[in-house]
Amino acid sequence: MKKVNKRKIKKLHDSDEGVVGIVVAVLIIGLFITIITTVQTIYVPNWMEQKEAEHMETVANQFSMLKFAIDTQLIAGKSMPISTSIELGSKEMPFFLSNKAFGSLEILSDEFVLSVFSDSNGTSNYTFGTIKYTSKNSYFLDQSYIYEGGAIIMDQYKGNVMAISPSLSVELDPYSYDINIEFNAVNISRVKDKVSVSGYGTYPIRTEFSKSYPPVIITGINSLSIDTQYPNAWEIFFNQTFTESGDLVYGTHFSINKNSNSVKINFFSGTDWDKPNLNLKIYDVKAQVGPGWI
Amino acid sequence: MKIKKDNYAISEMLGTVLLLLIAVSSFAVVQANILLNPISQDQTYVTIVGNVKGNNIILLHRGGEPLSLKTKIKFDIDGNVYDIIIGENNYLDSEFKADGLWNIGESLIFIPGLDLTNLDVKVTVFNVETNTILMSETI
Repeated sequence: MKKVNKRKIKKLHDSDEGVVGIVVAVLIIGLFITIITTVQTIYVPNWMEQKEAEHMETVANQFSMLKFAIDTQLIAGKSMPISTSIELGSKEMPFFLSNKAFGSLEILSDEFVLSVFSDSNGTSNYTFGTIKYTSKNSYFLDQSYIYEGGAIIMDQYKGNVMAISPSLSVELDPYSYDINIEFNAVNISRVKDKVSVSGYGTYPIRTEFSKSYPPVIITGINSLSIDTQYPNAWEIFFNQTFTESGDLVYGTHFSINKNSNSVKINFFSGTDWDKPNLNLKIYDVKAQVGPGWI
Repeated sequence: MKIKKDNYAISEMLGTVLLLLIAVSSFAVVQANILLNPISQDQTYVTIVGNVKGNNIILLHRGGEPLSLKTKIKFDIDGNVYDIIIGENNYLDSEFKADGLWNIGESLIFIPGLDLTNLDVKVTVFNVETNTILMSETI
């Protein structure tokens, strides 16, 4: 009996039937794992970064549509609610391990303060509300888009720029050398508790013209000051607008001081010209986000 | 006659052929759908806008990823070609260069020493780290 068993065991040990199939299976599984791992670790992060960067461009376009809608309402000058939408986040990739991108949309009050200093009027302060989108990306760097005082600002780590300028014009009269600044500023008012939404998906934001205040005309302004979280964007904007469209000279007609949360423009008079006059028009627009309108 | 009746290894051959078929078709699908995607290297997502002001060429970083000071820019002005590295000379303000990056809101100024009136300026920005073109525009 023992001899028979030993022979059987020896026969089993010597058998190489089925080895090819197993080796092929192991090789193919190994190949699969290698491919999937390569795709997951190299390609997926690149695709997701591209997807999130594209989503940021989509938000930029949606904010330009928001500004267009508000500008249209201001021109119409009557209560005419318009809804525009903002895509808060972007989807993850199907089949592979990846993260969704999220975002938040808020209507903030008292975020932007415009102060005008003049000998004739003293100091006048005007406070404005803003609309802010903030991304919570997983692969691409986080960015924010802000509707502030009629401008669209793009903010990211270490800086900000003005994506769309506000309605501000500067004119230097070639004969009288009078400098006239006209600023149509927009205040965003909150509607009850419909002030923020966050998560993933497309959310509408509804804006409605509320009222316009009588124009404020201030002659001979000494300085304009803006309290904002985005001083770099406003500094670049003022510098370019005054020098390029207003033909003013930095250091002769004006100078700009910037710090971490404000920008101040100082105006100078000369032998041929006086300090500028400001025509300030303030519009009030109600805004609400989230489902269901009040 | 003995050979005809022998069916040893048939299941293994069938199994192998089936596995090969599955593997080839799977990789064909992966190849067609994924690996042919043009993104095969690190991309840099950045927005740069350029304009000519007087005889100066100004490039503004308008958002996206910050760029290394090793970034190379080629200006082709009416056949005159200039290659610069943004961290060299004073193309970027020293305040901007302090963090070792060209960031959002920071402007680069290049003065070629030519009268740029009515001249086309072709600007090509290269990321030398990823060997990619970030911008190629005529301003």
